[in-house]
Amino acid sequence: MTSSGPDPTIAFNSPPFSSLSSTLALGLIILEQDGRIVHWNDWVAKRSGIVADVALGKSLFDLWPETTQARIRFAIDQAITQGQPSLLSSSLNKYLLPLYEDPFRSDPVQIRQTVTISSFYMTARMCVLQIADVSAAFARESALRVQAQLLNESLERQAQIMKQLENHNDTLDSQVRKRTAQLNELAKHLQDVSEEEKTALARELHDDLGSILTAARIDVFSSAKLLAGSHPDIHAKLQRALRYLEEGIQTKRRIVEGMRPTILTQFGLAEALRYTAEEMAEVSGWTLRLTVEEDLPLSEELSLTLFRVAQEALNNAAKYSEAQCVEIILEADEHTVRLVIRDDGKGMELDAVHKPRSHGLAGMRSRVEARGGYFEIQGAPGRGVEISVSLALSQAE
Amino acid sequence: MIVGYQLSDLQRETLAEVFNIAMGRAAKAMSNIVNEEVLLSIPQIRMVPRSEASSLLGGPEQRVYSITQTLDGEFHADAILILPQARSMDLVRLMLGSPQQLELVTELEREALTEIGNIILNACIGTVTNLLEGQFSISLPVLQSGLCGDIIESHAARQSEEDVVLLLQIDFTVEKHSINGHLAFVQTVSSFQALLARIDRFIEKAAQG
Ligand SMILES: Nc1ncnc2c1ncn2[C@@H]1O[C@H](COP(=O)(O)OP(=O)(O)OP(=O)(O)O)[C@@H](O)[C@H]1O
Ligand SMILES: [Mg+2]
Repeated sequence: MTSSGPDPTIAFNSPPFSSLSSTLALGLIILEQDGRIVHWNDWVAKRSGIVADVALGKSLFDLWPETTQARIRFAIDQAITQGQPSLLSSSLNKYLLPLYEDPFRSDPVQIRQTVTISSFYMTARMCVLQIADVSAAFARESALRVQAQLLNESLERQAQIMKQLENHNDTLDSQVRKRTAQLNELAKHLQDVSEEEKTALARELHDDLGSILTAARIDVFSSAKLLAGSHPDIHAKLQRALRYLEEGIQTKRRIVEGMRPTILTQFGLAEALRYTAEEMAEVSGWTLRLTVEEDLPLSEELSLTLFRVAQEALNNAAKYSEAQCVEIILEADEHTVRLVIRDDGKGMELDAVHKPRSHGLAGMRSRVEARGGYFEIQGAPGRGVEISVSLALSQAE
Repeated sequence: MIVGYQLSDLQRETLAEVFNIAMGRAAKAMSNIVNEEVLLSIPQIRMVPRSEASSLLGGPEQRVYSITQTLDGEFHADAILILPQARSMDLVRLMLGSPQQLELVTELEREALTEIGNIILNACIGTVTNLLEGQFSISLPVLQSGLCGDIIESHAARQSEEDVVLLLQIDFTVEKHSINGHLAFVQTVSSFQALLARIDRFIEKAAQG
């Protein structure tokens, strides 16, 4: 190539260009068309361990034989022959040029580098290699990747623990459900047993004690009649004994009735509710509002459960509510029977349900829940109390 | 419509052939770098006014990466490779074999994408400059990310003349992952007419030889 311009080797290695180039924070290599090195800045000298005097005039491919077959050779050719510039990234090209942090160490560390290769015209097309050290960016990114990896792992672990917890919760849940069902079963059994015992006791009281008292009353009555004229003082005593016996018989009847309400077994729930409620309303001076469906298809157990709830609710209303009006609703649809007892009295704090030695409300709830039913109490001071109960008509047994 | 910049079928076929040869070379260069099979092809070539280009590139609102190299000499043109943002980083990461994927796109990943774009652009620019047989200076690649419309808009040619765009569709496949990109040569109508004249001469020469 004939040239009429300045000699590039001189131009690039004397001031001001050489002084400028030595201050650069990147590597600068300039090649002639045949690959001969015409400039080699201090940055490159320091990291290659090759001083400029040794490099200048040599072919880059002789000085660094490892570049001969590589992509960098191709890019240099492309720049020189076609003027096409290239960017060789550090991540797609692992080790581009043999440049090191400290080339004279026994185990030198090669620097990560981005090389751009371009060309310009002087006397002929010249090729410029600019080398940037991106080791710091590399270190930063691998640290970032390690962090991301750790984060991912800990997220995965967390997810695993959450899952274990969930499983554990599920197990606990189903255990609680099982135990609750068992307890309900037990409560129901105990109530049934207790009702049966009451029934048996009631029968014995009625049959035995009842007949004894009645027989005694007949005897005393006729004895008193016999002695009325002759022994007025004994007659008076026998009259008193008769009254006592009468009271005993009444007491027995009341006890029997309480244990096994015959009104319930004979006339059904609707009638039993009406009778009981009217009796208590009279004593307490309530206005009664009854909405009671007749002839519901209720099993004996179900009727008894509902009757006991009503009894206790009415007892409580009589004892505490000071109500003007008490309302009872008994209704049913295809599947469910519902009982509501509502008063307009002074109401209560719902915490009172948990009063020690108070078993009425707790008893209602356990009776109902033992049969798989739903029990709710609503009330606030000044707003009356409402007890509502729903039970399935056909017992799943 | 601006008259005089339509491609004849023969011109189009000739361009497709020379560009596809160049893509074959670029694909081979990339395969060597990443040790994976890389496929590059140009299924379609079109000429459109610059104002219509972005709608053909998936709409002006599409988020893209662009890698641009500028051609200066007998005429001026911007060669812009446009890749959909969502999928092209996946492709880069596949090529880099990064073990741990990060949420953000790192500087070095952007640099690798720039190099990939540079290889494709050089192959296409080489084809054009060979056809034109002129002296050109070509800039280093510059990566941008943004909306397709904005990027096309920012590459208006220097003259106040209306620009046209030679639009090459590029199918880019690495392993089983492939993306659809575009290479746009934005130039003035007169530059383009010079190119057409060269193509015709090239066709004539080929016919004679
Ligand atoms: N209708 C009501 N009006 C106002 N307060 C009520 C009413 N029903 C219940 N309470 C309040 O709730 C408390 C708890 O009632 P619960 O029936 O459980 O127990 P108790 O009546 O005190 O005792 P037990 O019923 O066991 O003989 C009562 O002591 C009372 O203070
Ligand atoms: Mg009570």
